[in-house]
Amino acid sequence: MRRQLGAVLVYGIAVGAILFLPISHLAKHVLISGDRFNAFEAMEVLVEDLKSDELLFVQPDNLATPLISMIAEQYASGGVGGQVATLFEIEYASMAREMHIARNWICWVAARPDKSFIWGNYNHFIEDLDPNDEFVVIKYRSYYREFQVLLRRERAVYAFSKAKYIRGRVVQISALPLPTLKSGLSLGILYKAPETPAICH
Amino acid sequence: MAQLLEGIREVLASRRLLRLNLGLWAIVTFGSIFYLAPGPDDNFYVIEGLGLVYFHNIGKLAFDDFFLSFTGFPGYAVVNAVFWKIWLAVGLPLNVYTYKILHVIVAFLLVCLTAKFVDRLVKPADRFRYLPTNVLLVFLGITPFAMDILYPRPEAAGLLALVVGLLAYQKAWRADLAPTGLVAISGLCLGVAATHHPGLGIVGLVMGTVVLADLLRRGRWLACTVCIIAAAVPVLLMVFWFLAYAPESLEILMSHAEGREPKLGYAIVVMMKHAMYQSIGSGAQKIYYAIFYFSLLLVLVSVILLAIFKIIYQFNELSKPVNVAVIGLFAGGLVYLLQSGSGRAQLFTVVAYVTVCFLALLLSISSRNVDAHERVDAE
Repeated sequence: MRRQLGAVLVYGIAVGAILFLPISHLAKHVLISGDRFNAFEAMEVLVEDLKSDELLFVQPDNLATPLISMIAEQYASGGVGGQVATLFEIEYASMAREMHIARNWICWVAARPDKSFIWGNYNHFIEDLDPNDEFVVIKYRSYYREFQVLLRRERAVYAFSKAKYIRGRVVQISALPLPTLKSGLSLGILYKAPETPAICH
Repeated sequence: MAQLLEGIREVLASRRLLRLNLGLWAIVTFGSIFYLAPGPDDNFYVIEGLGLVYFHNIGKLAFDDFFLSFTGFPGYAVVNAVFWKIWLAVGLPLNVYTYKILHVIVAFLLVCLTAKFVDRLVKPADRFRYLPTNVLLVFLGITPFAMDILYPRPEAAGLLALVVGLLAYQKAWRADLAPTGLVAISGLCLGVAATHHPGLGIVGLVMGTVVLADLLRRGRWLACTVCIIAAAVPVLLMVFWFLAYAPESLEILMSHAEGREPKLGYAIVVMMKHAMYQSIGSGAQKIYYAIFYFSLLLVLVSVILLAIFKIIYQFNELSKPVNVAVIGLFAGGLVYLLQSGSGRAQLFTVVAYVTVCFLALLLSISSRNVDAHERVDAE
């Protein structure tokens, strides 16, 4: 009897230890309030919402995961016609790269002043500006600057406890310096709809 | 009480438990596609791999412009590129359901091959043959190894390269290092692991130094030379790649390393905090981290005490060539832990893995299987 008890004990400990990770992740759904990030659900919602001539802007990169098939298509087609842009991720410490990507991004938005886009970010980088939720600021950080996108919010396309994908129309894009910035990059208002910024001419 | 202990020991050493453990690990690894939400870096290396497939270099698209990526070591991006090239060539889809497939295969292979390596350390006829392997598989599940290994980052592939190298080294010693090809493979694997992540570079460097010192002590000059040359090939390729794009590449790599400068003992403090219920977050999160880190702390202390015991009473066993390589692996993990200035979860993935491996090695050296290493001992 005691022998069997010992055997049951070992099997129990082994199963509990090895399955601790999945059990604890599944238990999170029950124990912690708030919606969890479900990439499969996010993929369905975002694909349905994203129109063929639109871009989805995200930071950090894991928010792009639901649309990784679109990213793969973008690479296969040589970069033309892509639909997902991960902003400011690979250009650490290179001012030339940051300037190049910021220009691509701002000019892409400025060329479509009447369109709304989907913007994904973590909640602590999203700031509601008024009680009616009409305007919202989304902050994207590069190595040197924090870009603040003032959006006229249309709606939240997909949200979970830590982040949101918001559809909105760009009112203004501005840049603030981060402590790493020494000199050489533009600050202040970089784009104000519907004007075309000088860097895009 | 004696019967209870006998029951525990019998099951712990059984093949049935080993099969169950491997089955559970298959569920944990492949199931993670569904139960783990995407974490930071989840698609980072997949996309770098796509860069290599479609733009013939390691980098990413930013709108329609392709930029080379110098924020980390390129090893895992190359592995991704090879895999996705084949995967896409046979018409399989890359999407939210499949993007982690390479990583979970790598993680499952890592667990299985580590179990195989540990199993080979024990004499087949030993009554407790599967005890070290079972202990390994159980403790891997409850230490920070499990916590982070299933996120698609370079640690799993780097550790897999190290364990393949150890298996090759083990096999080479069975024939007294006669098959130089196996020695070259073990060296090559060490170099490949180092190209995956700077942390694995530290582990590989310490482990390589220990193994080479042991080979020199035994007068095995040829094996030593072959090992150095093979290990240097992937590392030099990586260095040349960075130098080809210097100074921009080095500038970006260095800036990415900012805030991660060595800080002696800092990671130990981080580990203690997590283990003592001091993590940031809700009560449930604190318990979650405390269980993983306390288990690691427990294994680390047990391993150090057990190692002291083995050094005093079974030094001859411990100083056999393959065992020395595992000691080198553990020493590498300790150096990585002691110098780390960031205390990030990925560090503890590696530290937990090498510590549990060392525990399994120490358990494989018991009075019952003193002669177990004869087949790998060439002396």
